[in-house]
This record gives sequence, structure tokens and C-alpha cells, in this order.
Amino acid sequence: MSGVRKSILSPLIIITAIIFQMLWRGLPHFYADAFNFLSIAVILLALRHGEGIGAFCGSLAGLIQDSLTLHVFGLAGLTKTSLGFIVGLGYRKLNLASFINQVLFIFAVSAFELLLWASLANLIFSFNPPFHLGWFWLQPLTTTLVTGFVFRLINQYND
Amino acid sequence: MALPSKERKNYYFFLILLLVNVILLSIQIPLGQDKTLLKETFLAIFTPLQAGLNWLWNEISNFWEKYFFLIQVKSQNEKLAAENVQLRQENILLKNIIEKLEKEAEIKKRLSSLGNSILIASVIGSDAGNIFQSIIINRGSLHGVSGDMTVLDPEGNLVGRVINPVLPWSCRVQLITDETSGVAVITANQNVSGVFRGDGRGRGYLDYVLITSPEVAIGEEVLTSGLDGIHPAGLKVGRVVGISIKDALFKKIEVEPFFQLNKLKQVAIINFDLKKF
Repeated sequence: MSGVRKSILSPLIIITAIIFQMLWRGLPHFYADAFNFLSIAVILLALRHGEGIGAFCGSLAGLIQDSLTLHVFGLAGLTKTSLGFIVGLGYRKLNLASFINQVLFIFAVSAFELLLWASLANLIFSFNPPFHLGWFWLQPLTTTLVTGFVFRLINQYND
Repeated sequence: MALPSKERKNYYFFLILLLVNVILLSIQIPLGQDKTLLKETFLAIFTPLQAGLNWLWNEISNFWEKYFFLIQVKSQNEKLAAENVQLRQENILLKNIIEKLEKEAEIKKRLSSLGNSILIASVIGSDAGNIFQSIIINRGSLHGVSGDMTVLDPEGNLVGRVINPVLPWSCRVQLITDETSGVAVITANQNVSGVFRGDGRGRGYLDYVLITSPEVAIGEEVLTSGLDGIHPAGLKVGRVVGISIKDALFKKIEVEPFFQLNKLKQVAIINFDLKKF
């Protein structure tokens, strides 16, 4: 029973993230950029399964995000693939036993993903993310808080 | 030091995924704005899902009000609000057309089909990259929507145009605030014409306005001129909020659009043939 529960948890994480992302961005609110549920799912799956699955889920989640935007297809795919891989690799290689270290690590990688996406969008593909609204910059913080909380919950549940 | 076999495989897998995404990015460059098949496929899968989720969410959140609190009033209100939007659109278009036409018989003939030419749609999704680029609405080819149709807000202000691919039950609207959008416009008082381009930040500016053209005042309204062959003439676009000199030839005229993205829940799609009017 426990094995079944564990095996459905990962698909459940990605499906929930897609549902939340779609509902959250259902209307064009200015605060829509405050959360990126797909990034949260990618980090959670990479933490659970390592860099291979993390990169694959990142690619999938990124392409879903890209399909819901007007212009460049593959940009979020690229950045979220990197996110999934780095999180999986980092979690395995670094000493992240303590909760504080985990939170700091998640914050660093989410900020990295956001900056990578924004830099590529702005410098290479010449479209401007809505930096001026401010909500955009909250994304690493909200991703860290939600991911940290959910990851802790999952670990307690598994124990 | 050699990497363990599994770790090496993961690195290769990561590189392959990166390469796939880079290829996806590069094949769009020669295609320009045309969408790749893969993007169309993703869009075809996720847009109906998004529409369904939005519908479900609305139904759940309205359940209490509809069935326990105000059984009839809520649905009547929604119906009246939709009718109101439709009537406002008709009113604006009628005014524009009457101004242009002289003969009563001609007016009657041409306006007979107008009522059926306005389609009301709900916004079901915003752009995942930049909310000022596009929105997704719940009307598609099955409802008679096709590419380049004009989209207005409930007040009759220009929101954007429908872009291809149009899916059976939904479509994407490129907002006038998108950086790659261009609308032929004219200022209301001085009749200075130019092209309105979005800045991707919720505003836009008039392109190709010569320094030698008549002075445009702050607060002057900007309307569609119809010269682009996409939008009918006379639709409200925005208001001039800033004027400066761009370079030796052109002025930089900043315009704030009238439509309010943050409050956009319903839109009207205009599906009449511009050439008929």
C-alpha cells in the first residue's frame, strides 16, 4: 500500500501543479507572477528522484508553460530542465540534511532559474518580462516557502 | 576520475534534453511568428483543460450563491451582464457606421447582419510569460472565430486581435500591449496618424510620427484608423500620456491603453467583414 502511495505521489505533484498554475493564471491579474507552481513541482520531483527525473520533469513542465505563452517555445523548457537537473544533482552532492540548508538551496536555485529565464528572454529573444510590476521578483521566495513546506510534509508522511 | 555509469547517463540525458529545447527554440527563428507543430499540440491539449478547470472552479465558487443564497438573481445578473456587453458593442459600432453612411436604406441593409456579428467570450487564461502579451478566451473556430478578428473590452475599447492557430473551443488574443503588435491609429483631435506598438509593460507608443506633424496634446484620444485592414476605424485605443523627441525624424508619443487588463473577464469578438462597411 505504501509503495502504491509513493508511486502515485509524483504524478500527483505534477498534475496538481498544472491545475494550480492554470487556475492561478486563469485571469490576467498583475500578481499572477508571484507564484510558479510548475517550478515548485520540478524542484519537488528533482529532490525526490534525482537529476535525471528532475531534468525530464523540468523539460515537460517548461514546455507546458511555454505552450501557454505567445512567443518563444522552448525557453522555459530550457530553464526548467536546468532547474530540475541542478536541484537533483545539488541535493545529492551537497550536505543538505538540515532544513535551513534545504531552504537556502531551494531559494538559490529558484532565483537562478528566474534570472536565467529573464536574461534569455530579455537579452537573446528581446521580449521584456514584466519586471516593473514587482510581483515577478517574489517568485523565488514563494517557491522556496511552498517547496520547503511541501517537501517537509512529504518526508514526514513517508517516515 | 571517471563518473559512475548512472551519473554519466544522467549527464547525457540532461544534455539531450537541453539540445531538444535548443532545437525547438532555433526552429522558430525561420518560422517567425508561426507556431511549431509541437506548440500547437501542447496548446490543443492544455487550453481545453484550462477552460474546463476555469469552468469547474467558477461553478464550485458560485455554488453557494447560486443554489443557497440567490437562486435566480445570480444567473439573471450574468445573462444581463452578457447582454449589456453585447448591446454596448452594437451601440459603438452603430455610431461609427452611421457617421460614415448617408442613405437610410443602405444603413438598414448593412446593419441587419450586425447583431449576429458580435460574439461574447470569457477570458480563461493569461500569458504564462508576460501577462501583457496575450490572453486565452473560450470561443474558437466552432463558434465562428478566425484569425485577425478584432477583440474589444466591455466598454468597446480595443483589446487586441485573434491570432492563429484558432482551436475549436478556444483561441489566443494578442494584446495591443504586446511588443510585436502593431495597430494603425489616428489621434482624435489633430488627426495625426501612426502605428501603435505595445511595450510589453502595459503601455505603448506611436511609431512613425514625424517631428513636423501637428502637435499632439497630452490627454488626446487615440483611435483606430482602419488602415491596417484588420481593425475597423474609430475604435478607442488609448490616451496620450507623454510626448518627447525620439530621434532626428520622429516623435516619441507614449499612449496608455483604455482597456484594463487587470479587470478583463469578458471580451467581445467582432466578426464582420471590414470591407462591407
